[in-house]
Amino acid sequence: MNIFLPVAGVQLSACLLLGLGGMVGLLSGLFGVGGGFLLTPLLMMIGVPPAVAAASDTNQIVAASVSGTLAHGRVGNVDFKLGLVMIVGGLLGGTIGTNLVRLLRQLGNFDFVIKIIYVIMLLGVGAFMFQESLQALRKKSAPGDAPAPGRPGLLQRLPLKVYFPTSGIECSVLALLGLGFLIGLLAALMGVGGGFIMLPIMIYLLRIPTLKAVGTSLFTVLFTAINVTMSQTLINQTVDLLLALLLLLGSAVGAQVGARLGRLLKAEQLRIIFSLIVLGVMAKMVYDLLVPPASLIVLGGGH
Amino acid sequence: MRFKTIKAFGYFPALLIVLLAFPGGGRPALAAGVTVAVAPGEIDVGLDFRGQEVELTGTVPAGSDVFVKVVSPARNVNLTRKGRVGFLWMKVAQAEVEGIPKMYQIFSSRKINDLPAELQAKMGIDQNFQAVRDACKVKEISGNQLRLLSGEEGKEYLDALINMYQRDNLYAVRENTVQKSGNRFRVFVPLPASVAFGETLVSVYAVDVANGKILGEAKNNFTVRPVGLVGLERAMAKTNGPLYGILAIYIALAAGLVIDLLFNYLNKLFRLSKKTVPQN
Repeated sequence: MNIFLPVAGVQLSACLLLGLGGMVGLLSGLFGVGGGFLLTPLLMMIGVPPAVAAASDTNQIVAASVSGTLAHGRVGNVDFKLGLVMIVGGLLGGTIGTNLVRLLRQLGNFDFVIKIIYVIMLLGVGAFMFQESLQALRKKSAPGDAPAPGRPGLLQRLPLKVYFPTSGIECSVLALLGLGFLIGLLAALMGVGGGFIMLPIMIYLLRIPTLKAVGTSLFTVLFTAINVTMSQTLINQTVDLLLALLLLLGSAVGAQVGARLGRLLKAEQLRIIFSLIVLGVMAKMVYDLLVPPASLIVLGGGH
Repeated sequence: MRFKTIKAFGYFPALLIVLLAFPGGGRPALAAGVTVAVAPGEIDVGLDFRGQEVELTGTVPAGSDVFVKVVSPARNVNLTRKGRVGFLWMKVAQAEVEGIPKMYQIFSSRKINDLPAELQAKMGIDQNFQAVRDACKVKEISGNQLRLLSGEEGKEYLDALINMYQRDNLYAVRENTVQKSGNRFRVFVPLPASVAFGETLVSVYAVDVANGKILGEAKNNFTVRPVGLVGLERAMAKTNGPLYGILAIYIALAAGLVIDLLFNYLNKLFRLSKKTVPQN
């Protein structure tokens, strides 16, 4: 069934959009990421103008993250208290980051440096997670969670310690605010949602059990997505409500399925699949950077 | 201005004589005029819009050739250019093309290259869409600098944009598509699904190709307008940004909530039936 999308100004199959939404929602439910990295280029490929694709995609993440957060929350896999602290830090970091981008752009070469940092970061995180979860899988350790405990680091030594019963960790509020700030800052600098950075930090630095990290990450993604959707409509008026509606119906369902599927998998399995996705995204970025593009001039907008 | 008035007055007696000589709206007299009718005059774009054909019919002097151009309103388009930075391909510049129509279709009853270049330029009918290129401005932002690109520099952007529009069948040169029979002509304008909104101008030229003369021209237009949900959404997105954004977010929140409730309900139903099976 084909329909005409009012703001995008193109005609597309409704089933295809529902399906794409479902696929990305599944990833949200499984890994607590927004999935913009996947959906925006896919939408552009099927003919949606870049600016509309990016904005409508963000609105879809709102629905997927609500649906996924609730699904994870019902079985106690969302640490709302910890999530809120990180959101406060994240919003602060995001605001400063967006202004920093404006400043750094004027220095020139900003995009070049940021792209390289992003690729190196994805490579580092992906490779580390892959290696760690592969080892865990080989050992087949019974609890399957909490990667090897390290020595108590800076995070444990900071003041204002609070116990978070859901995650089962004790951590300094200052450290959480700082990490949230860092994630928000990095996300704004790289123009991404931050789910990719959030999950590894929660698992490896905060030592939150994998499934709970996924649920809590999804909860924080919700706020970032609302924030971005709002600014997109204010500045660009590029959200196509109908396009977003089809995507978000698909992704809200996908997120539910993903959250349930996640419980069936072992934590190491989840982590290894996530690390492969991170490495895949990195490979795609490297490919785009190295291989001459098919057309040098394209419509503006997008991420 | 004054010259035009004199010219018009100059033609007027001649026209009067012709009309008087052939009373009853005689065929030969009207044959000198060019007319064009558009059907339908309004194109409604709703959710089920899949593109549509517009029929142009009219009269031209018998024996003349017909050239038609169909042009949508001019607008601004943002473009991004990729280039090499060191060994990497990245976005290197942004540009705004000002005053380019989204649709520019040309129809003719004869090859366009048969027309002298001067006439092509005058009518804005040529293989290369030169009239569009001449009319629009290209501004490039690279680093902190904004500059207006001259013809040759801007060509790269215009080529890319016009190519995109050609792929979408928005820009096209369709030679020998105008059907003629006596002094009447007919042509179908295919509007693709990625249609351009607004008042679209239709210009018809009757040309004596052998002598390189335009015998007459006529203009008309049709309006492509969004209707129903398409119209509502476009109007809201344009005129009420903040409200639209909040609505978009509420819809997303509600959808997420409803889907979760639905799944939870199904879950309970499923679990309940699972529990009841062994009891029976």
